[in-house]
Amino acid sequence: MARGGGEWELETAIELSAVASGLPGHLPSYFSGDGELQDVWINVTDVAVVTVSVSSLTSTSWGFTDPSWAFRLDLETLETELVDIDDGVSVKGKTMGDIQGIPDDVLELIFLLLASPAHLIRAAPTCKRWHGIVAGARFLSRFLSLNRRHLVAGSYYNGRQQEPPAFVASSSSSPPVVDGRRFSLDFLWSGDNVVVDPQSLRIVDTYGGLVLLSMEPYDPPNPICHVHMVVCEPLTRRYKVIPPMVTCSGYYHRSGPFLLDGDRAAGGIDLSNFRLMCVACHPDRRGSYRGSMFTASCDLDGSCSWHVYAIDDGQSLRSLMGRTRASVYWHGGGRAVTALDRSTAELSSSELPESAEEWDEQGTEVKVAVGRDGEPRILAIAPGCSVVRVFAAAMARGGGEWELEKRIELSAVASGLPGYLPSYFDDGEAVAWIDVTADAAAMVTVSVCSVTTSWGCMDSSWSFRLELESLEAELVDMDSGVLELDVAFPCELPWPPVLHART
Amino acid sequence: MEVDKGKGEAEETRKVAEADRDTVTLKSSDGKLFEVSKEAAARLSTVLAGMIAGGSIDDNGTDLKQIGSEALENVVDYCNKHANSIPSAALISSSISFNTAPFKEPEEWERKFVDRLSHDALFDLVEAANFLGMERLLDVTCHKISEMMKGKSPDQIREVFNIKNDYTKEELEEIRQELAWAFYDD
Repeated sequence: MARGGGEWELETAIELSAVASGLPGHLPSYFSGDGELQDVWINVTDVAVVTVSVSSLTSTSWGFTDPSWAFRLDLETLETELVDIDDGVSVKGKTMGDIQGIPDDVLELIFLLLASPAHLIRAAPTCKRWHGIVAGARFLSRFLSLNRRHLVAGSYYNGRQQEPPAFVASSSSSPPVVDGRRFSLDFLWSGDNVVVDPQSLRIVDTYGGLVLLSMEPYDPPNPICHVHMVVCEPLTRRYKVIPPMVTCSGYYHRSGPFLLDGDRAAGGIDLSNFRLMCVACHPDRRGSYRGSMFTASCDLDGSCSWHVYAIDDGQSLRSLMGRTRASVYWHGGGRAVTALDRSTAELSSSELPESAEEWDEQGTEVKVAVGRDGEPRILAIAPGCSVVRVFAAAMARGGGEWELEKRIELSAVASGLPGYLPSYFDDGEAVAWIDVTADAAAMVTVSVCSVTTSWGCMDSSWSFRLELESLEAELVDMDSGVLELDVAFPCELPWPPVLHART
Repeated sequence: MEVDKGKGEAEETRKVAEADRDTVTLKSSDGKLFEVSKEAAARLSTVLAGMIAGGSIDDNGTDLKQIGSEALENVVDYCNKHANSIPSAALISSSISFNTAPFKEPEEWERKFVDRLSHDALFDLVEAANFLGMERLLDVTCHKISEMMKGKSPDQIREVFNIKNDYTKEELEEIRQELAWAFYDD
């Protein structure tokens, strides 16, 4: 029957030994089925023409087989023609066009358009010529600049109630290009060698393809504190146990650890080339901060240690606002913002604009999110206030000022959602806060609690996702969406990929 | 205007060309003649634009010795379809080949245009587009080839593109271990 269902019926049965027996080089054993290891396969070459190939070698572990003898067969006339194996191109297709006739710079363009590193990594080892093109440093950096957003494979979430951390593949690459199971962290605690107890160590940062697990910070912080941590690379299932960071006498562990690029000239981050930073503060000397840095530029087994990272008196790292791929941000009090550049490990200062609303007012929340342009945004919401102010950096990173980009009236964006009550954003009875949760750019979660406890309210009773640019709001299903309210730690595919020159 | 399907009706083509100076006649490596809108050719191909501006267009058929008749027919077909489609200044400037602006997805008709091509015709058309400096056609054809690679294992890519595996068994095993994460089996 024509397409759209029905049945298939046998049209003809072709005896290969009969049609091929007259061809030069034919051996009766090819199609005799006497148990010798012969591999016979068919490639569709043209309309009604197939190529029948025979190999007497067993296939390799890659399933790759080279034909040792092949012929073309017209399915209707049953005419046969021997294929010249040695010319290399005629076995599987017509001989005229050939992708290897395409010049290198055009192949580069084709590879750039593969967009996802996972696709590129599959194409690269096809043959030595392609490998050579893809392995070039110039090509790899160009690919990255065009496809940066495709590097994010997905995000980790710390499990709730003693659950181990979970990986959720990025929704932007659908279907996912890498198996989510590859990102499991179970190698840290399953098997004989338990490196990490998933109930005491939690994910605290991710950067590039590395995941940093650490003890959850004590609250209130212990004056003498040993911070244990493990850095791992999930895709290669390798890890590095970091010697404990011991806070200096008189200082309290304040924020971190954070992952930074290694200090090698080539830059980048991998398990043998990264840095860690912790920040502590002195409770009596107001505004006195001190950093600790760990540099792992040596071998995996080599010993590295923590050293002091001096922080100027003028630089305040009072409360952590959040992180982007490029930097970690603190609100220093008042209008001061301090940023730690993840590639240079340098601190820089910038200023929020003068504002009628007092920056230091008790309860004002200041968070950092990422805009669609990949640049940071500072979000501020004052207690009892129904407006989120969004600030963008007036200058690119490296200091300067922040300027008000927009004001978002929460009652206006949320009023159409199910369960919305005018009192949420109206009279200051309810408390609203913002979480930067999703790995998607420009996406935040706004939560509302209308019941305050003596501890200050912490369990959201109603939440919605808000896209900062389109201002589209979507209700979070509190019953199913546990992950929606947890912080996402995005994880990238390794870049540059391991491509040893084999040309 | 109907495009000469390359059956050697040179006489007829020449008459049309004489009647209508808005076209140029191109000659494939195997001597077949094709006619294309001068405006579209100049707009879509930097090489043809240069030839038209430099007066090196031959009314009896400009020789394009590097391009076979099948590929040239597709080039001409693309130009004529494009001429009926949209202004392309934006398309040309969006080319990934010259800058790092995001690649503009093929339009529906462009997708259909490349989808109907056999592999060989597609590869030949890529080379022709590259030779003629047709950035948009190059982008669209390269995009098609990249789509054919996506989601495939190295072995499947070799199969589809008929590429000879020139690695030793040991080298393959080494690559497989290094990039194991990318080669998962379903």
